[in-house]
Amino acid sequence: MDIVIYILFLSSYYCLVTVGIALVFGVMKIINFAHGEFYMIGGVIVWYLMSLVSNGLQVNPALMFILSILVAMLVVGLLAVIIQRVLFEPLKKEPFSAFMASYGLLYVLQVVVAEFFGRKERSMTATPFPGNLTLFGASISYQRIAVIVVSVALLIGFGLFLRYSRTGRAIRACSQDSVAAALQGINAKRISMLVMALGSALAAAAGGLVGASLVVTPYMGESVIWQAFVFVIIGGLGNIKGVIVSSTAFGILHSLILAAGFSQYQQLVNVIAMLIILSIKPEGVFGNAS
Amino acid sequence: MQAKTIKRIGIAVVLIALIALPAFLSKYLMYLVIIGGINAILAVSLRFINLFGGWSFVHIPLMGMGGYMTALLTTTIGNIPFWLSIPISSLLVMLVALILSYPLLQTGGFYFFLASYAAGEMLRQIWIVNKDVFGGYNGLAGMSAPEGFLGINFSSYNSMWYLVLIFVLGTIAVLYWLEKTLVGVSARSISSNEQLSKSIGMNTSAYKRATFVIGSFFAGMAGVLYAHFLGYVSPLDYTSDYAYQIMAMVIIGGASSFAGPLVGVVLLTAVREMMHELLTYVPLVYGIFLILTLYFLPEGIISIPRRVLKKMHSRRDSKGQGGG
Repeated sequence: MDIVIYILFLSSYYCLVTVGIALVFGVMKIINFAHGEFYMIGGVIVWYLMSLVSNGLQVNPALMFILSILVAMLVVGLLAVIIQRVLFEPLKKEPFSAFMASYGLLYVLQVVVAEFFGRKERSMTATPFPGNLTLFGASISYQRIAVIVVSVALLIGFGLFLRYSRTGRAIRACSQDSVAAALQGINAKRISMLVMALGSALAAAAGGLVGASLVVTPYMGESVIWQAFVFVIIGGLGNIKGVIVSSTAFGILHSLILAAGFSQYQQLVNVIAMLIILSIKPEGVFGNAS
Repeated sequence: MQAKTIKRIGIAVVLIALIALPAFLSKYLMYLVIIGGINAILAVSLRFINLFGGWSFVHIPLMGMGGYMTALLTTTIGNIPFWLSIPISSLLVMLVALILSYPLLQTGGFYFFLASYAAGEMLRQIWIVNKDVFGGYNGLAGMSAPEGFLGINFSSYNSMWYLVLIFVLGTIAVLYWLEKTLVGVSARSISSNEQLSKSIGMNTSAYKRATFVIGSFFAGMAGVLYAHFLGYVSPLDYTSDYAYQIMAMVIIGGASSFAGPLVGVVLLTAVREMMHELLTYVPLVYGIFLILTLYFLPEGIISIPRRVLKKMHSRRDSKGQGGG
């Protein structure tokens, strides 16, 4: 039972991070390497807001937690739009330059946050959802359940938005064929900004949720981003469904590895899987050769 | 005076300055210069690989592989001297690169970047996980400076610098020559239009593989020098952070010309030295320079003289038209 919960926890967290990458690449055809830093900034924002509660702010911690996730999503979404306008839009003719610029940005954001937050790791002091639930003999923390519930809710909400709303359809249109979409009167610039905001907001939510459960450091983005890109490459860059399948598969795989006691091989398994997939089908399992 | 003569005099001046360095610099600065020399080998060879259009993110781990090979050959497994180890270790790294090239060169562009990163991580994980052979996180230690000969002693920084300088010049000579001859020109052709190159009968995979393998040889060689200079190897030294710095040097200096990476190495090493009180800000500054370069000077700093000349010429032309 422990394992099932852990699988759900890990998979939903992986999906939140990778969906944003696939979304941004699908529409804008650029790879934002600073995506992991959005995740990190989300975690930092939630940490700061929750520390207000520990320091005496009289608000229900659970409520504060949900609020701070929303704030983190908003702030990071805004930051992402600014970055898109300033950095990516001018470089959109040169995808490689945009990518390298985002790599530079990664370090810029990291060092700036480290300046204010400090280089050491810190965990959240206020517990939003204390206590454990005993189910089938296993003790599961309510915190973990909350993370799963919120992540799944965000993912489902996002999926419904993409599928059924007008803007969602516009996004899908841009991702499939930007020229045809423009001919239909869809404003590509606006869609790019929206997509950037959404994808980064999801990453920020992941950062806030997981940061709550583990620890927050300015360097947590870096460890997440490489892994996230492995999942995305295997799933198919730009293919949201493929990426969800891939992230879930890795969630299961990693949980099993951890349970079996081989956690030191996790990284190795990731890279070997990626090398194999790239040798056989470089576009990813669900990707389309462009 | 002709441009060629100016160039030759310039190179001679630079060489004399490099040789005279130990007379002027403190031990601490010589340390940085030696590392700068090793970085020069890495930057030039990375750019050589990039000629066919791919950024090899396994470059630094392969450097680490060179370090580990020499560690094993000179201390643990055998007791061979440095001078034997450096060719053998570099060739072993070249072999590893050859094997890796089969899956890696199936990919291109961003996929190649990520795949090469994965390959590099795999190497690092192998060192970390195999504690008995590679020492895990602690790495391996005990390497000594190269054995002296003819009365030359390499344990001082100054003599180490001359050794590194010779290797740097050797690397530059070999790669420059290779670039001017068939391999480099074909690689550039592949990079600009692979389909077209194939259609005229060029064996694109062979050329891609050759550039990758040759460039990686020099990464291994740099690793051997680094390991013997520091006296130890550890997986923490060969991370993506280091790869990022070398890549930044190449791009900021200019990936499109041979001298670009060298300019990048000198500039960024100087920047790092100026920031020695605030080392944690170095990635930030590199990042800002990188973004500015990509934005304003995509061809790197080395393209500044060319751009200035171009502007001067075009102004002269338009003036001529107006006046006439």
